[in-house]
Amino acid sequence: MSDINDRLAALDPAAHDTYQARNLDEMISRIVASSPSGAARSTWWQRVQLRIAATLILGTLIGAGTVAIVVGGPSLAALSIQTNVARHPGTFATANTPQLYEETHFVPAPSLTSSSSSSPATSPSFKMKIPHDSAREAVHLASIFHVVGAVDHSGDDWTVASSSGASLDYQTSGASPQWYYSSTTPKIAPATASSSTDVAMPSHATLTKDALGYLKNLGFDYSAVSPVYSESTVSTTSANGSPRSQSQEEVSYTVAVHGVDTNQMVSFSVDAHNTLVYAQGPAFGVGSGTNYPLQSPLDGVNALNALERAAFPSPAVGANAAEPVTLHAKLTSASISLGTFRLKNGTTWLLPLYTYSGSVAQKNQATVQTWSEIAITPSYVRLSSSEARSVLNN
Amino acid sequence: MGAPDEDRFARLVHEHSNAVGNYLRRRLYPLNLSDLDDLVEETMIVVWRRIDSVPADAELPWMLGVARNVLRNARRSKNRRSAFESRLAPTPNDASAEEHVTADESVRNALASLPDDDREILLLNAWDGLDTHALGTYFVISTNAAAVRLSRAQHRFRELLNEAQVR
Repeated sequence: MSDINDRLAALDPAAHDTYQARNLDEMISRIVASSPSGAARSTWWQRVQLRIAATLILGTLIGAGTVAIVVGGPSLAALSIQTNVARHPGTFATANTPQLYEETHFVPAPSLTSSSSSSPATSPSFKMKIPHDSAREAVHLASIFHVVGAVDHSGDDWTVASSSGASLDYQTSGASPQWYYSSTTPKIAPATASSSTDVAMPSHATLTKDALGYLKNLGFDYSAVSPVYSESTVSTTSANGSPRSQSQEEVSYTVAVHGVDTNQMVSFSVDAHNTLVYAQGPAFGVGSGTNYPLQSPLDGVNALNALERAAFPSPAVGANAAEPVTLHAKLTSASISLGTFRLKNGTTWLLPLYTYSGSVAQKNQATVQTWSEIAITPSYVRLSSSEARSVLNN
Repeated sequence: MGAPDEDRFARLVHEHSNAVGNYLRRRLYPLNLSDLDDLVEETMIVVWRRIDSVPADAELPWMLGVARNVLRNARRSKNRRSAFESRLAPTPNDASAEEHVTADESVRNALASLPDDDREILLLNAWDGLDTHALGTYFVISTNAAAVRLSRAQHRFRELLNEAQVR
């Protein structure tokens, strides 16, 4: 991306008109004199700080090694997670989401309370097998899609492009490597797609057969479940400026490992002639599973609330006082899935998660969201900080 | 000065005011350059109020997150102004980031075609220099999640750019 970053940097408005702060000491005096700092924090917050400090010290002592053996669980090693994670809605934050100012309070519905007694006591975790030779993996994946060409390497991205323009990108920036295939025409432009087509598209059965064929050839250990089919029309502009459109049909699967859904997706898109135009998915294998004890779904809810309190220690302050600063989420169900986590020893694991579904009331409107929390009993999990935890969404 | 909070606040202001100002400058439209100093000060007021919440290892991205909220509220206020004011054409000094990009048509088109989320993370990296750790703080997501999100945005951007150049 360095070439593209250079082009973007050359067009930076601030590069042409750099901001130079003035009279900073005056501003500091003005602000300090006219408004209280967070100094008026409650003794409650001071107690929380003490608890966090104690947790950090304990965590440091126990988690000093890459992996520590847990007392009371001689056959199971603690999972020392590298990532500072934060419980988080299942979707990414967006520019319109005032993340910094909103605290969420989670309330379990009676249905969730009753289901806790029947939840499983253990669930398997899986160490992921990641290809060591990325260039070789890129070439291998490209061959599955009949893309033949030299490998272009830039940072964590390996690209194989054919003379026809089809390309295979293999990216290793995330916890789990991802591959992306794109045919020559058209390139996929998600922002310009509509959700319907005006031509006959291949049947779901045909698309499924093709997708499963590709998955078999890819040869990864995972399976693809819960297909979701969608049609779209991607609008582009031809070289002479006239509009043109390309109808596509996509099947998107949830990636599952040994029958358990993961947070990974794999998808395939074809055009009206059943030619593959786009595909993407993760590249990993798995070893045998290790069963870790689980906390109850209700304990997971308590953990979510504890993390919220740690993240919002003082009364939440909105930049706009009229906006709500505390959201109330009613959690109605919890399901087990596998999330991707990188450990301090550099390995990547699929760990069981509780994914909670619930609704949030905000501004007289309820929205359905999901939140995830590590399902493994906390004594087997070492986090690198007291900060919140979340799944690596890739 | 002298209290630890005040000393830290003074250091934050001196070290990061220009970066905060440049962040706001890049996203100022439809506000005016004359609003810039006020927006920086408004950001610093929030930083002072929440001085204990500023993470030691990610001060700037946290402050940019505050600046984003301040800017959004300022835009809301701007939109509430009179219809007369809202119809005023921006002066040359008010050019938006997108208008500056017209010098490179293919980049402008590719940026315009990106989803908002992709465009935001791409420019935070390219213009504001936030690495994946800082992006994680800014978006309140893990570093790895930020890396994945940035990588996907770069991937989509490159595809759109390639498409524009083929045409």
